[in-house]
Amino acid sequence: METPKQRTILVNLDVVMAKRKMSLTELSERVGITLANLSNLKTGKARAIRFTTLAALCAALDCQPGDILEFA
Amino acid sequence: MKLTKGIRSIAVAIMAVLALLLFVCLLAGVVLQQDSLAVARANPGLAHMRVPVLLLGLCLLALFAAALVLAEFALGRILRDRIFTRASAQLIRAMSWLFFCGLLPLVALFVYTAMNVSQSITQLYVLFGAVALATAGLVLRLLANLVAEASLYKQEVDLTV
Repeated sequence: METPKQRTILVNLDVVMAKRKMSLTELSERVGITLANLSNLKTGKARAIRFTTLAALCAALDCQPGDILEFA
Repeated sequence: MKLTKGIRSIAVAIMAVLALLLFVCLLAGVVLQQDSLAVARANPGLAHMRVPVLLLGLCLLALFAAALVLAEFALGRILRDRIFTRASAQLIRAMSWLFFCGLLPLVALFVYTAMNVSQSITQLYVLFGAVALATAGLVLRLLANLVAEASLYKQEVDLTV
């Protein structure tokens, strides 16, 4: 019997960055958060994201929160 | 900065206590040997108790010294800003177990003196010691649980972007 897959929040930061042709270093400088934290967010290791960080990311990438985060 | 200085002072104090403990044990061995022999000669009925009581005392000292060494490690972790981890919680839990284990030699001492000496004042001290050890063990257990819980919160905060 197949076990039901647990639904979770996915971070599509790499997809949005690729669309904007923006590197991790450039985004880090624009948003003002460390590369390590940004890397944690991109790889899905982060447990939570502050509204201020999300707003800064949306501003830097010119997108909506829904473009970065996905419930799947 | 002030906290770090305070912790360094405690670490130095612990090392000093360990050194003092060693010195006192050596000195007591040298000084009390003659007294012990004199007491044994004066009370031949109690002479057989010397070695077992000494061994029980050494057991307690060894546990106390081990707890101090673990405390030194725990203070080192605080200085390196790595106190809120599962390893620190395990370290403190180990210290609490050492204190609880200290109850065993005390119970043995209590029973042993009760069997051999009637109305010994030592038993009162043993009871006080047992209460102190149990309290210290419980407090350390509480602290270990707090650190374990705090480590989870810290992990959560560290991974919040």
